Amino acid sequence: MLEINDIHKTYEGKPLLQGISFTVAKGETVCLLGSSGSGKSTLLRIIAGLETAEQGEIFWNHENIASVPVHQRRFGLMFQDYALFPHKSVQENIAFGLEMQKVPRSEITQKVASSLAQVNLQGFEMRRVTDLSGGEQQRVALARALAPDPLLLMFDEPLGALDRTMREHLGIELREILHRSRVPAIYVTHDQEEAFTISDTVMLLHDGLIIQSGPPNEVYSHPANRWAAEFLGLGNLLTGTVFHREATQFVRTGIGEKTLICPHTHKGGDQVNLLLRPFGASLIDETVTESILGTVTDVLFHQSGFKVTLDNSLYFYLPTAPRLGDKVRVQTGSLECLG
Amino acid sequence: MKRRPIYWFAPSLFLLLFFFYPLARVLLLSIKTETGTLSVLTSLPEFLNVLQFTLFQAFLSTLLTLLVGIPIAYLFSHFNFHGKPLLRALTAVPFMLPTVVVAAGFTALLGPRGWVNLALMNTFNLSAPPITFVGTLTAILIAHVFYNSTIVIRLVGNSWAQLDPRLAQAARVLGADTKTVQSRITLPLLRPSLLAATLLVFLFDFTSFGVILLLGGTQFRTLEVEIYIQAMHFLNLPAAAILSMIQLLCTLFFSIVYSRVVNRSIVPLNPRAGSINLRPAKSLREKLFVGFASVFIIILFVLPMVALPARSVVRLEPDRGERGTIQPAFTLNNYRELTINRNGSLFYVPPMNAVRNSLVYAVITVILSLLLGFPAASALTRPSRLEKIVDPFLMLPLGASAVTLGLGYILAFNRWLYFPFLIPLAHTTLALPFVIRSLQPALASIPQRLRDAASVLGASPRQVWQSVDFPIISRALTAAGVFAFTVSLGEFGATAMLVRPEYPTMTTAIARFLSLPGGLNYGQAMAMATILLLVTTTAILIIEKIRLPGSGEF
Amino acid sequence: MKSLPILFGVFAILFTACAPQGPQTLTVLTHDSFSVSEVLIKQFESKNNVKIAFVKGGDAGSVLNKAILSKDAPLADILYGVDNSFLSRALDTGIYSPYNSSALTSIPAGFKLDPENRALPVDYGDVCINYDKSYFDSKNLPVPNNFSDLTKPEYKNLLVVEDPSTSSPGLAFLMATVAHFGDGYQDYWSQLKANGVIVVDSWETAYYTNFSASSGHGPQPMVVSYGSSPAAEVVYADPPVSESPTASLVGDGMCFRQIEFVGILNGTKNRALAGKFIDFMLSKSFQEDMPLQMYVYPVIPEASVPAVFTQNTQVPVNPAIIDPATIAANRDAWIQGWNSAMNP
Repeated sequence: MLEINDIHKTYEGKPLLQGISFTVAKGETVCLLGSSGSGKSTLLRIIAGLETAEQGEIFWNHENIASVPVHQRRFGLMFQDYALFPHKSVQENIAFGLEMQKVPRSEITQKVASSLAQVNLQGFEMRRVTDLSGGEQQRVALARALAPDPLLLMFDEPLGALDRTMREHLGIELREILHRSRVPAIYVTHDQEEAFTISDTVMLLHDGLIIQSGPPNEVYSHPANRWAAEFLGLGNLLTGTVFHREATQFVRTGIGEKTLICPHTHKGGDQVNLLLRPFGASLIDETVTESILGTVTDVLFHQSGFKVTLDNSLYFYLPTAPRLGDKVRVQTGSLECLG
Repeated sequence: MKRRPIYWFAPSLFLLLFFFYPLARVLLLSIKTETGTLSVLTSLPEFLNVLQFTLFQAFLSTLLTLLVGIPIAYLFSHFNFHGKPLLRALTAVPFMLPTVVVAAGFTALLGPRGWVNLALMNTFNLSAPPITFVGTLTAILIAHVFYNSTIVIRLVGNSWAQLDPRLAQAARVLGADTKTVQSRITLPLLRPSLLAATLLVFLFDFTSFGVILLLGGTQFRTLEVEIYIQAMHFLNLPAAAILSMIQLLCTLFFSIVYSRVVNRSIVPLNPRAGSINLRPAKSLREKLFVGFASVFIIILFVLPMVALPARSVVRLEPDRGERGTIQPAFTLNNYRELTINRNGSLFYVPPMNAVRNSLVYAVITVILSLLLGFPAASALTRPSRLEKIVDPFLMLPLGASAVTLGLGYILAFNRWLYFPFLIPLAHTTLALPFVIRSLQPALASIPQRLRDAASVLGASPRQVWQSVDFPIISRALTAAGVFAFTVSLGEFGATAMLVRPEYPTMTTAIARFLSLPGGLNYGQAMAMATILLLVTTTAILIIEKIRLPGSGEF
Repeated sequence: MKSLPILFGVFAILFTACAPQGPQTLTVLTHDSFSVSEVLIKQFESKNNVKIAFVKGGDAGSVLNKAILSKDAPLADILYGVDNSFLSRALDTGIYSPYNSSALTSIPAGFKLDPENRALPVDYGDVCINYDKSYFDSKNLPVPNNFSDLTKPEYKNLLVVEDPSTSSPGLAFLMATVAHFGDGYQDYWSQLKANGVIVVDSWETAYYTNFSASSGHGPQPMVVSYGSSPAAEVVYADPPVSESPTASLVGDGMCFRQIEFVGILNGTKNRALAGKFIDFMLSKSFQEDMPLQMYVYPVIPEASVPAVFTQNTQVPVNPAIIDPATIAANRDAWIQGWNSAMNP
């Protein structure tokens, strides 16, 4: 089990990681979500030992590994730009880690073949890595990280170059591999759909700190703050002022007065950040308290429905598509408070 | 690809005209005589001995040069530290120093009356100098390392600086310790530039002349020395011609081996900005490495040459005949004397004229060899069958006997040689293979998809060159330019054997001073050598500072 | 390379532009040590409305080689610098065209080694052993008087010579021993070797690295150099000295006489002018200019030698002389013989 404790790191004089702490237990897949430049890759490199933190410790199975050199940690790291060895073939790349572990030749050949099969690249052993497409290279990099059965796996944007089908397929593959082997894993991505599919725990990294950590559904249902909701693309973001009516919390917003769903109580007059989810909406005729009036400015086809944007910049997924310019009334869910 | 023939046309024509044609003329003329051939056959065993020694000392020298040059290349490509640009320039200076000057420097340091011996004799009360340097194989080897390390340092260093550090990091995460990373990842990726450097260094050592003659004493003979003696002192041109053929064949052989090996190892890399690997030394180990390496560089490259400026401003008389007691006196007389035409000679050279002539020749050489060499190197990155065959012939000028080629020029160009332009043309002949070999690994490492991306974005082929190739290889171009510059300044090979209408350069001035006895002559030689040192160091520093337009980070 | 035709065009224009115009040019091919006063040349040029172009071609052997190679299309009008060790070879190849200069009558017969006057003598010098005076004084060591002395134990390790296959004075000294010992020269050299003689590649190394009395402050107080070198040590001394720190050993046969020749090259288009230039080289003013320019002696007896020479150099009474034809026939063999004696 991996324990990160209060890691601090600056980059070019400016603070990057300002106190990161978390654990990854055996069999757990943790997903690190954050915007570009937030320090996700740096954190992985620190864990791998390629960089040193200015403050904080890293424990593996309760032992401080600060003094353990990179090549002895037996952690796996899949680099964001693959870092495949250009002068070696696919086979040689994948076999590298196994050779370092002094695995006998015969076993290596077998292991490489099965690794390739795992990522759907059977028969690619002799190809030059520089001749492969981006997607193929990425899968080779993945296979290379998995082959030596590392104690901890770290993935830096592992599926970004793949098409949707391949991504889904490999995502499931990965999840199976990770669960079967019970290897703890840290997964860095900015694709939250992927994050939610694969991980047991989602961690949101913002401004050098982990602002939320929890199972995907928890994070999904209760984003910690406005930034989290925005980053995860959970829906429309609004602000409003709280007021009470008959012991229920309401909020006054730009789109009118609406009911407020909030786990904590606010005083009247508090300014709050609000989330209005786009799902579960429908077109209606009568005026209902939780309905919104607007003119359609954009209609986009999506798998989850037609994404309809109104002139007030709010968007909803609707089962049927209105016409551009139509005046519509949309019944929505409630406003949730953030943070 | 309609452009291919054009790439080859200019450099090939140039080499045909200024190398193959004169060489052919002198060889054909010499072989016509039968008596000459007979004498060669009788001396064949002796000549084979000479060939054997030539190969032996070349291999050994090359090996040592690699051993010295590679760590220094690592130093310069990975660390920033105080005085780095100056140290870097200083490692390149030896390359263009005339052997006479280098021999003088080494002798002043390690000769029978050099500083080291004098110091040892004084400290341990010895009557005879304990260290014998001049006249030993060690002297030859050290001088070769001194001269040629810069080739390794620049070619390998540039490659190394642009190596993606993440490859080594990936290997480390996969369990490779430092040694494994070096042997399995770093060295294979450096192979193209390593091979190019090895070939160039080897050819220089193989055709070594001045070093062998001046520092090796009379018991060591290489092919080139033998050719010189046969041609110039025995006036036996046929023997010289046959030896030259042997030399050329060896050069061709090694070039072919190189072509075969290098074509297999050129790999498109992701060349990174040169600064990505640079950082100040942090850990104690790193600091120690930087410190030791810097001191080593100073000892090997700077110390032998420090004697020259020292001797140009210090007067050590009167102490002739006395052993051990030196009464130094500071003087600028030698520099003053440079500006005086003491005996009203027609051939007096004002120092600035010599400097100017040297620099003009050098600049012309750089421009010509880059203009001709770049297209050829481009064409060689993905050579056609014909180009693959032609490739090894490009190295021949470096491996051809300077003496023979010089005589060939006389035959081929006769009075055209009085035309001053021919001197830099002759220099270019020597610089061209150098330039091509320096540029080739760099050009080959540019991934085609970068060029493709530029093309798709609307860049014409020339613009692709400008925006993709140039920035990435600007370091290699600078290195190639520096080489061409120093080859010209040092007047290597055949150019030292030409007839000279009076456009004296710094090197000819130095040789002239040393050909007459007298304190002022020796002093002026030292002074002019110091000027040569200063001019070269400054020029190299300037060249390195010039960033080619658009080269940016690289 | 669109720029290449332009480049060639520029070259072509420059070639033609640099073709000689105005006064005629007389080209003189010399070895690298050639020097002459600017004043004298300018006088000759203006008097004869000619421009003299000097071309340097290396040492004596190199220059001769180049002249022979370019025989069919001579590089110059006049060749200066072939000495008596190369003379026979030069004459055999027929590069010279005879010229009976009027100045020849005043030159002593001993210098006129070519009866057909294809090569005319211009200057001479002696290759002698120079020694460091203060060394011998401080050690109270008498200077050697003859060749045999050099093999004596008190002179062990004190002499540096040059390799005859790479050095002209080296060859001259070898020939001096041949002239003295005949076939026994190899034994002599073995003895010298046993007595610690140092062999280096060239005069520059011997004089400036090994000789103790030069600025190089080397270990050996005796070096094979030129009879005129002691004068140069005075002329170029810094700080100035009143007498030379060196002198020459001029015992019988210990010095070898070198005579340098000039000749008109066959195929010249400026024969008349070339003749005038040779006359000029044999004129008193040129001959008197030579000592301080090239450190050689004039062949014309009327030409006076500067005081610094008469005060500091010793002219051998009986220098070793071998006739050019013998040299040409045997030099290779002598050098091989020397090689075997020194590297058994």
